[in-house]
Amino acid sequence: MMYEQWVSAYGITAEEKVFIFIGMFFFIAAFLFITFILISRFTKNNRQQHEVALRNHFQRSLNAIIIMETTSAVPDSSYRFKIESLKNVMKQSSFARQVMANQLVALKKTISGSSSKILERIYIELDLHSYSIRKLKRGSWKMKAQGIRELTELNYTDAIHSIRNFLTANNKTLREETFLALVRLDQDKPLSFLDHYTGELTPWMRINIHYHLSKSDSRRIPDFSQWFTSSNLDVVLFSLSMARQLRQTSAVTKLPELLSHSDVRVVALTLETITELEAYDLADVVAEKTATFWNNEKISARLVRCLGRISYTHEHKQAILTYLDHPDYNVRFYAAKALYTLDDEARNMLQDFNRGMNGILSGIINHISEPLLQ
Amino acid sequence: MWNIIYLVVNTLILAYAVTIAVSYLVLAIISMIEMHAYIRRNYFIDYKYILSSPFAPGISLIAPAYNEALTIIDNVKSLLSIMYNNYEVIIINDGSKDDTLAKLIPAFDLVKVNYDLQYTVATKPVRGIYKSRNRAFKKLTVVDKENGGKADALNVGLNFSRKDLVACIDVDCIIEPDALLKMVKPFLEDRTVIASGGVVRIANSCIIEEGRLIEIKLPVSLLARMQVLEYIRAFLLGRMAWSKLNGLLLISGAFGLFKRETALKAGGYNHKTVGEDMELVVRMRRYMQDQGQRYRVAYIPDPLCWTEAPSSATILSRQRNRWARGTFETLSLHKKLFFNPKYGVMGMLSYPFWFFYEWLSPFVEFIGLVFFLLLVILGQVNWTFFISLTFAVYSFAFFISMFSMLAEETSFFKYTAKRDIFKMIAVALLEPIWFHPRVVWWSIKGNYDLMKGKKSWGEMTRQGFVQYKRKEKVA
Repeated sequence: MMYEQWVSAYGITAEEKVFIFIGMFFFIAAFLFITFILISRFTKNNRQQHEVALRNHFQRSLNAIIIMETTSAVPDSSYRFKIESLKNVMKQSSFARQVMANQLVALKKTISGSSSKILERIYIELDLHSYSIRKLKRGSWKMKAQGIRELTELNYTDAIHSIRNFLTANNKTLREETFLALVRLDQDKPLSFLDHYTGELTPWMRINIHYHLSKSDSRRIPDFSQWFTSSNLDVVLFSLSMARQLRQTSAVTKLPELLSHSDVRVVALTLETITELEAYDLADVVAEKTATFWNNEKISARLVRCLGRISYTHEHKQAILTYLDHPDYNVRFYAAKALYTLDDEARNMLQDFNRGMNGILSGIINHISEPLLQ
Repeated sequence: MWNIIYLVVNTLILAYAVTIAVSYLVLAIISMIEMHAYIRRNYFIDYKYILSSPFAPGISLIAPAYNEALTIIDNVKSLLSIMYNNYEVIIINDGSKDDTLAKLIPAFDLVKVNYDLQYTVATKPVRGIYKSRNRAFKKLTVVDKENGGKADALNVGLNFSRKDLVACIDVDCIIEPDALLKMVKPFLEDRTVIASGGVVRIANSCIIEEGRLIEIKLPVSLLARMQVLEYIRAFLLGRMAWSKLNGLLLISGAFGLFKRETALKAGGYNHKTVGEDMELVVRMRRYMQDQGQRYRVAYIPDPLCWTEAPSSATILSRQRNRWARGTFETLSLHKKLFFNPKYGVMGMLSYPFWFFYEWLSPFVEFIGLVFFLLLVILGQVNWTFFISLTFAVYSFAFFISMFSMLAEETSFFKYTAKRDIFKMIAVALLEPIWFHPRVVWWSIKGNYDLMKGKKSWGEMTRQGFVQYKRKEKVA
């Protein structure tokens, strides 16, 4: 009524009414946002305080349990009592259960040895493993991934079969969590999923898998050359880089084949692997490839670097020498560096070449002989 | 006749206002969704895996320095303590007139070395390359060159680097210790990524110690506070959406990570524009499209870089003048993109958006104001219409600012003090009438200066973080 009076008093037109309506709408929406921000801040603070209180309580109890378990003189009843009191607190809310699970995961990352095993046992005794497994059945991918992370961190190997179901999940993060869980939990064949894997294996996954493998028992690390012939290019690249990084000399015999691979990334990585593994036996094979890859400057640069590491005959050095004429600066640079660092004979070959070419490589030679640039 | 002109101008301005408002609203909603998806995706990420990995790609941090003698030592120390394994710091002394180089040499025990530098991208001559004799500073290289401007200095860094990725940064910025770990992740997840950018935040009044951000505070200066809101809006509500649409044209010059090979193949930074940061991104994208290669420009919503915003109107006017000139220079250099379907999202969406709603908007606003004043003089103003329209526009501006505050609150939540919310609400209410008209004026002035042939950056004197810290201590 008042609005209508106001409208007629000021002679407001239909167009103006629309603008007033829009203005009111955005103002009300803005104030709703402000209310939301204030409520969010209030609840965030409360939640944070509650979480800190719970965490402190759990931490004290966990410390006490770990001490009890490492001291054989303490009776079992005390341990039981502590566990039951923790269960009672966790019964109160799923929030408390989640705080406890987070606390165990965080502690597990910082503790090793027998204390770590105690944490794994507490996780099961508090029935938190069931809580994590229930998460695997939830609709949200984030909850599933969280469940997988908890089960993995607390080394619950019985969950492998449930986790394996997510190998083909649509969500990328969930799939990645599954791979990492299998790498960590599967004691016999941690990378068996690679046998039939057809998806993408990004450098990010490579970093994650390498991290977990490097932390685990070296006996669990598979021979990566078994996947050199995989039909999935990403798997081949991954296996090559792992073989190189983990210095698997058993892979050397399978490398020459890969120098004829149709994908240049595989060839480049193979040359890097031969370099890292210092596979002297393959020097002849690599030297033979000089003509094949001359026009590809990236492969050529890797090839001369490789020869710089594994050459031992005059012919090999001669092969490097041809690259001093290469049109690409980087290839010339690495060829000069390879000769400079190989031995006296190679170094003399480099100096002779430079003299013959009126000192065209003097800049590069000065650079590679500079101690502070090594 | 007068009625026809009145109707046409009114309709055009109204149509423009409606489309710009709808665009901003759509971008804000996409940004909000994408940002929360990013937070959910990264909930499980442990960045320390990258830190210790031999598979992490090498990064060259390129930081041009011009007359930075006052703070250069602290800045370099800060850059050398970034959390990343495989990286180097390249400081380019761009012919400083002060003693920037003279301060660096003894502080880091530098000596000249015989580096065979290739001028893959043409630059001003390099006078010397310095390395440290102290193994603790092995990652550091200082390149001394003749003055040629920021773009020229960055090109020297591109020529010098042999790493896969180059991070181009402002030497006086505060980089978060884990910034490189976060910035490199898009390159690891997607091989088609050619560049990634992060959020730049304002560090005025924050507590900084030895190049490290200790405590985040809202700036004391009202002008700087206005810029805080402006930056949150631009970075959290704009660029995130453009990244999702793969149409991002600008990665801030303060901190961006690029694939070196692509940057070099595209021709490096263009030293003929003052908007070299945007121009490089556009050119890299154009290069990839022309080559028919798939690519993506990624964006990280985490606050990774903190910079000092101008707190005086004079300095701010120079900065905005330069931004306006840089925008127009880039748009005119790449006018071929305008509604060109060959360039996909960039040609059909990003470029037209930048043209109509970034470059053209100050002119439309200015013309609108002149037209309004003319109507006032002629006594043709329908005041109720004017008031209702102004109310709608003002409330929309306030709404968008509050939306950005909501995005900040539900994501990175950096301004934790309760009173900061109320301060920011006051800023949002004041900004459209106190700050925005000045920004519009500075942009128009920038375009006018460009027409007159102005090419310089304009002197950017800074108060300096260290200076602020001293003030704090005295207080």
